[in-house]
Amino acid sequence: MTFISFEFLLFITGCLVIYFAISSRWKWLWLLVCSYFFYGYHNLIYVPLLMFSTVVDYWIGLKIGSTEKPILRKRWLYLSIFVNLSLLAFFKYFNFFNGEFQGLAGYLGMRVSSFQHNYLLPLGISFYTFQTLGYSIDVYRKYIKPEKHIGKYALYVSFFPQLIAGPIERGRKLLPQLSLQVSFDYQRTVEGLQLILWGLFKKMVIADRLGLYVNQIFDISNNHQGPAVIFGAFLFGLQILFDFAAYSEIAIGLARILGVKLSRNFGNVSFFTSPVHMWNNWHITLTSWFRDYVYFPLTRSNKNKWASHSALIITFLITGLWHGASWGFIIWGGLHGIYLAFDHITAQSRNQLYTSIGLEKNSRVRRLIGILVFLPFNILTGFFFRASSTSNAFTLIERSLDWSSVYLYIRTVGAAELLLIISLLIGVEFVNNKLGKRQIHHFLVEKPTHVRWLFYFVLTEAILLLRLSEVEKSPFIYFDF
Amino acid sequence: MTRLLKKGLFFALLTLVPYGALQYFIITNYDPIYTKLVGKHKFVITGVSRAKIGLSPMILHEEMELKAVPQNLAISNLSTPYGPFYYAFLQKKITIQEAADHFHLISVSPVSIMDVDDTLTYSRESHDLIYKLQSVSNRPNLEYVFRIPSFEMLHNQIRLSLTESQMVLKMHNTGWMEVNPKGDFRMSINYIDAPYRPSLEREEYLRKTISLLEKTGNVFLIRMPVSSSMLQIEKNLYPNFDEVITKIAHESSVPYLDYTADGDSYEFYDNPGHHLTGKSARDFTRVVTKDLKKILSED
Repeated sequence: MTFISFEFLLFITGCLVIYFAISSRWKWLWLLVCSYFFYGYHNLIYVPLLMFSTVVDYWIGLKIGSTEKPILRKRWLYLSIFVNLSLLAFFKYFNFFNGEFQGLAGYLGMRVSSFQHNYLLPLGISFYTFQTLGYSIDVYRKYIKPEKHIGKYALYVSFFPQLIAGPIERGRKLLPQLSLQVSFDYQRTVEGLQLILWGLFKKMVIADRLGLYVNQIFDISNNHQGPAVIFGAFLFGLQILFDFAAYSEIAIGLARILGVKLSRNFGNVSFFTSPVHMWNNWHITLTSWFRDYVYFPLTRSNKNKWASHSALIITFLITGLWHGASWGFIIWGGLHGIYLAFDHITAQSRNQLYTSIGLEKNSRVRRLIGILVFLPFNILTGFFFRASSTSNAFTLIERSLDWSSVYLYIRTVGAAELLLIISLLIGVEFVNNKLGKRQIHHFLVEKPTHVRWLFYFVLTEAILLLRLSEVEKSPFIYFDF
Repeated sequence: MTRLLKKGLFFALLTLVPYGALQYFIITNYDPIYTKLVGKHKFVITGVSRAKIGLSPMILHEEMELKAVPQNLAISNLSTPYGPFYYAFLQKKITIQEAADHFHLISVSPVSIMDVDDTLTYSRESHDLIYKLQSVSNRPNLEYVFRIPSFEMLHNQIRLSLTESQMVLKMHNTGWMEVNPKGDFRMSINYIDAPYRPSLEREEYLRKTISLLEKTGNVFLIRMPVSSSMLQIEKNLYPNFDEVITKIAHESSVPYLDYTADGDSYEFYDNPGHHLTGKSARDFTRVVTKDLKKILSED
């Protein structure tokens, strides 16, 4: 059940009623039951896998914490890394790498087994394995003491608002909150509902409607070309941003109602001025995870700037691979790593250039230039991220360069739909400007009642009227990872 | 918590009432499916799109002086081929009231009893929203009004009225969709867009549909007229379709009226022709009416 389903509405209602009715002593247990129910509802077969990952890292955490000998602590940590990455390797990457290996072997004239497993990718595995791995590393680094309460640790791993698609939480932030000494609070509940409403609007009105155009363009059989293909890739960048940001906001809102604060995962930005700007505002918890657990360890032994840039590229290659087992994602990640390295290398000289022509750091013109310069790169990488295969990505890029027929309007979507989408984007950008760095509930709390209620009314009516039909609507994109 | 519940209830009314009102207005004026989702009926027409477009219930009602107006419950090849979903739908739509003067027209065509190869049986209609509704006979059908977002419908209507549409569509309350092309326009279609194969399961559901409707009236199997080029396509697609239907009709003791021989005497708005224009639909319905009167008077 997704967040935008009737089943989820029933589930969350039941969960909340009992949650606030029972004693704080048992709230963790009830949430654990709800979380496992939520996960099992998607696919019961993979519940044991979640349990296994939980138990292994709980136990390893205790083992690390039980000894001060560095070599023993390291060995336990390596075991955690091995178990978690093995799970990911088997379910997510085995078929891809095995297929590539078979291809290479065939090219070299060798015979190898053509085994491919048929297991579906367990929902949320990329997220919860990283969450538990991060915990083990933090225990090893002594940032956090190992959690002794297995139930609360299990809840940390399986906490349903963020289990399937993040935000990826650090143990030191989420675990202390799971004592759940909370009671029903009106203001906290309203704030949670505000976040959920804003998330639902972004997903059901904007992201899904952007998908109508994007899906047509990326369906290779439709043979679109030129500006329409470029526009489709541009809209995809916005679609995935709004889709994923929406999920995170709903997750944060749900957790807020339950009295738990989750980490912010997206900034209030639709258009990025640079790769640094993007990665500071996009999937923040994943970026910081890779920074802290991959990039910093890679650069610890060598502070040389070229080593640093290489580490950046490697980190982003892995980030790309984390998103999916295909060369398209690896290319996507690699390109981002290269652009980031380039951005770092040229940062000082660019700053000098801007300053020399009177464009200070926060000037609107400089911001606009940044957007226009970064946009083509974002569109290019979008092809690799969205296309159904790497070869399709290259085909679409080739078609985008064919301007023999110049059009944006595609019959199956229509001019009115495009106008609607553009109007909605302008509206959201207006709100983002007002929000600044604040989240929606921080912004609304200072507004008078009639403004808040007008905001709720407009958003709710927009959701009801502009959502796609049950046949057309699409799941959250990041469920695929 | 009481404060939250009170405000929540107030907000729900504040948003749902105008939403419902607007939805109801749009759907009742522009939705071609809604008329098939309200009320129960004594006389029904079933089948796929050629029946939806080719048979006018009002003409049947007038010419045969029926006590009630039949309802055309045909929708499309994707939504209403014969199968468990359509069968369950029809069960909810007919008035269980035996009467000698009731009759039902079951339109048959090859694709209505065929399945697409390599897919789960019934998969092409299983996700249709009409089969997810709890009720298809409430009047008004509030579940449908609240569940189906009507923006697309309104958008299409505005677009059709503003642009130079090549066809004039009118959805009647009887479930008949009248389609008239402008001038010489004919819509080219790719009729066979999937690997269809005969389906024994769908044939069985055709038999079950006949049995169901026979409980409340006389049943007639009808094969709608099509152009000779379409007839040839269908012969290639399902060579012994006619024999299969004749056999089912004989087993169920119901008349089978095959109008494909006269196909070229009618006007179609598509190419190859299998959807009648509004005028031809009226003419054809009158022909059917004459045949029905003749058969019913002989009984």
